[in-house]
Order: sequence, then structure tokens, then C-alpha cells
Amino acid sequence: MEVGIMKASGLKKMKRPQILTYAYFLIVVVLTYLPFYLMLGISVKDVPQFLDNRFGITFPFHWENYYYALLALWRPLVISVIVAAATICLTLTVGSLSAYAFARFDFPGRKLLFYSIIMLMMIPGLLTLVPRYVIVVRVGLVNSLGALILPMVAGGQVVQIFILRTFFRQVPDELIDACKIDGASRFTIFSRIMLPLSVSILATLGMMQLLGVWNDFLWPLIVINDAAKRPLALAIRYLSGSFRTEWGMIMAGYVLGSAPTLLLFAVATKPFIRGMTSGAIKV
Amino acid sequence: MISSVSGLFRSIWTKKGIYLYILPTFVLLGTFMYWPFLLAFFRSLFEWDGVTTGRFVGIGNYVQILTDPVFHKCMRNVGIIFGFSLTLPLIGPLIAAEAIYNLRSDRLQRFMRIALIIPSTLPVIVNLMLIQYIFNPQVGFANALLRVIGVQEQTWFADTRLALPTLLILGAPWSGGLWMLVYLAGLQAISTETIDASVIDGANTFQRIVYIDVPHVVGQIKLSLIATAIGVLQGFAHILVLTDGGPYNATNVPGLYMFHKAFEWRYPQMGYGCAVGVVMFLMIILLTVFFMKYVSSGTETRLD
Repeated sequence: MEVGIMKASGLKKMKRPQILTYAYFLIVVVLTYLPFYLMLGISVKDVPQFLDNRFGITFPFHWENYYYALLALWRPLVISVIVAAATICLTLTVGSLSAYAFARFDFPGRKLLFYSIIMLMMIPGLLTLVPRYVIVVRVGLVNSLGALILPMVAGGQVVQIFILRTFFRQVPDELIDACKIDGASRFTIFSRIMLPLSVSILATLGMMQLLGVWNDFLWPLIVINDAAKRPLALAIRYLSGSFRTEWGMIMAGYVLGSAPTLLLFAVATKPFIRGMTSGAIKV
Repeated sequence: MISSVSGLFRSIWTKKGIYLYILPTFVLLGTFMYWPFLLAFFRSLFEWDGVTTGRFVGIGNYVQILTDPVFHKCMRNVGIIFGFSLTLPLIGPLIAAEAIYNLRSDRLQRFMRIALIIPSTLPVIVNLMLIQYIFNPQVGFANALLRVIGVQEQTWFADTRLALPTLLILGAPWSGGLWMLVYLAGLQAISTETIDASVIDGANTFQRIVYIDVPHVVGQIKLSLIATAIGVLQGFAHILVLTDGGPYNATNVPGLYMFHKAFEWRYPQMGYGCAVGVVMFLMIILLTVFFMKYVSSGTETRLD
């Protein structure tokens, strides 16, 4: 809305560099969408079409590529959805419970415990990667979905506690006191007041966590050896191995693999963007 | 003394319900954050396969890392990648944000913003696989393009000279993604009065960019700098997929070096991997402290 006001002033309108800007966009858009175009174009080619005319558009379209790609990807897709849903729900639950305690109550050790959580934001994942794998093996989680979910919950909650604590603190004391007088318990205040008031921030945090889990392929690569338990990112990685020279099917697989996030972006653009940028700012 | 200790215990006991709220957090953190953190330092002093008790070797692993020519090569590569990341990858998103900001129509602004981030909504692995296809020596797009303009075809990632440069230009045109969004949000937060005043004073677009826009997003540039630095030192997943550090370590980086040592199938050197992790941890901490101090003091003088 601020942009609108700025535009209305009219003074900002400048002429000359517009042409330069359009030229820049032309180059950038071509470069940005080239891989996209190649992926879509090739995804409907059979092998002779691919060998004959790789970069143009060829007819007829071979939609059956998508069928074969789906056969290879439906299982990893289901696994990824389960992992993402479980990770998001658990992280938000665990994170908001802690944030609530740190924001609204005084108890011995509060400061120390809180700083011991915040400190973790300074620790790079590279340092803990190897020992974390060993621990996952020790506790018997290796090759299970738990190995994909629980470490992500542990790591993801840190930022959430940090952000949600600030948010919960801003809830006016009068509101809480009124609820207490009405006989609301600690947990009722949490579930009936705190959570409903922070729906939008919870959505952003959930989106951030989703993008993190969905994009990660290094950790699944380390803890999942069983091909039947591969999440989507890992399955996409190995698609070119199973289809070999069937580039049409490989590309169809990439399109299918991109579909969930693209759809999500289309239906929830704003939370998606917010989730992306808060992921950047957390560092 | 005794009474204060028992008082502490009493106040913990009366508030025991509150600790239930933070219990799940600390169970998870203990298992997957604190324990690995301590284990990393402890096990870096061992020759250890991750299963057996291991053999104490003192600082042996560290000596071996710091004298390993492969690790030197990794550090050199990461230095090159870091140096390059301070150029186009750092200012590209700012240029893109500035270009969008300068568009006259609101609708066009919104459209271009969305258009430039759509590719970064694809899963990272899909973008990587597409890059791998484009630089495929037999059927890829890059060689087809070279053929058209009559230049010798290349093997790209399989070429010791070309592999690292190819890895560097992957992000071209460095325009999309979250940093563009962050900069654009920063630019759009500049007040109308400021912009109008500059126009009345006769500033052209270029002057406005240099004297108004850039100083207003210095904070974001600083943030991006720190994030890029930490990201470059840590990141190796994309290199693992594209080149696996090869050919002949031409694209190897410390993180990948660690990965290969620790997760080598026949002879896993987990202790050694932990030691590499500790070395990188110290470097990242040093770099962060350096940036926080150096870059932030530079910002203040600039804004005044």
C-alpha cells in the first residue's frame, strides 16, 4: 500500500533508464526461464524426438512420460508429504510450548536455559553433521522416517522459539489477567489465546520449516539407504539413474517433483514469500 | 546458603508444571544438538569409525588435516568461490531489485517480482539436476549453443580447468531468490518524501541509487554478506551432486572433504570428519566475528 502512495506522488517517475531496465529484464528472464523451458519441452518428447530436435517443440506430445515418472515418484512423494507434515506439526507444537513458557513465566534458570537455546543459532550444521549421524544410528533411527523428522524438529524449533517468544510477549497482560480471573488455566490461555492470536506468524514459521525440509537432500542421503524409503528430493536425484537415456521421462519427473511447491506458491504466494525471506534472515 | 538452595528447590518444585512446557524442547535439543556438539569436539581427538570405542590420537587428526594437500586444495577452492561470491552473486540480487523498483507501473513491478522468484520455488535438487543436464557434454544445451556459434565443445564439469568456473556461473543471472525480495522490501520502505526531495534537488536515477537507495539497504547487504560467507564455508550439497568434488579435487571444498572422509563406505573416518568439522567451525566463528565488527562499524560511518 505504501508503494501506491509513492506512485501517486508522480515525482518518482523517471524516463530514460526505463529502456535500460527493459533490456535488463529481457536478458534476465531468458536466462532464468531457459532451464524451465528445457524441462517442460523435453518432458513431452520420446527418445527419437529428443535425439532429433532437443530444444524445439515437437509434436505429438508424449504425455505417457508423466505416467512413468509418476510410477517412480508417487511413493517418495507420499513419504515427503508425511515427513513434511509431521515435521511442521511437531516443530510448531514443541516450539510454541517452549516459547510460551519463556515468554510468560518466571522460573529458576529461565535466562540460562533460554540463552542455551539461542546459542545454538551460532553453531553451524557442518560441525554437528557427522556426530548427529552417529547418534541417529545409536538410537536406532537410521533408515526410518524418524531420522528425517526428529533431527529437523530439534533444529527447526530454535528459530521458532526465538521468534515466537517475542511475539507472545507482546500479548497484553490485561488480556491474560482477564482470562485468569475467568478461571482459565495456563494451558487454556496458551491454546485459546496465544495460538489463535499468532496464526499468521505460525503460518510463516511453518512455511519456513516446510521449505527447509522439502529442499534438503543431504541429510536424507546420509540417513536413508533403503531405496523404498527415499523422500522426493532423493528420488529426483536418482531419477536419471533409473531412466538412463529416457530424457523425456526424467524431465517429466522433474516437472512432477516441482509441482507441489509450485502449486503451493500459486495458492499461498504471500506466506510462501514470507517463509522464504524469514529463512534468509535467520542465517 | 542452605536456605537459599532449599528455597531454589522449593521454587523449582512449585513451578514444576512450567518445566513440562520446555521439556520436549530440551529432550530433542539434548539428543540432536547438544550431544552431537560435544561429541564433535571429543571425537575429533580419536581415530574412530563411529561404531567401536576408537583410539585416542590427541591432536593427530588436526595435524593430518592441516598438512593434507587435498585439504589445502579445498581451502583454495573455497577461497575462490568466496571471492567470486562477493561479486555478481552479491550485487546481482540488488541490481534486480533496483530494476524492479524503477519500473513505472505497480502491476509490472508485482509481475516481475513474481516472475523472478518462480524458479527459486522449484526444489533445489530439481534446479541442480537441470543445470547438470544443461552442461551434459553429449546432450546438453551448453554444447549445442557452442556448436551453433562454432566454438569447440567442452566437457564442463569433467574438465579440470573448467569445472570450478562452471560451478561459479551456475547462479547466472543472479537475479532471483530471496535476497532480491529482501532488497526490494528494503527499497520499497524508503519514504516518498526522501525520494521526492532528491528529485526536487535535481538528482537523476543513478545519483538516487548511489546516494539514497544503496545506503538504505546497507543493513541488508551486510546481512547477505554474512549469510553468503557462512553459506560458502559450509555448503557442499550442490557440489556433491554436480561434480562430487572432482575431477581430481578441482571442485572439492572442506565440507565435501569432511563428508567423503566420514562417510566413506569401507573405511569411515568419523573422528577425522569431526576434526574437519571443528576446524570449519572455528573458521566460521572467526569470520562471523570479523564481519560483525568490521562491516557494522563501516556501515555506521557511511550512514552518517
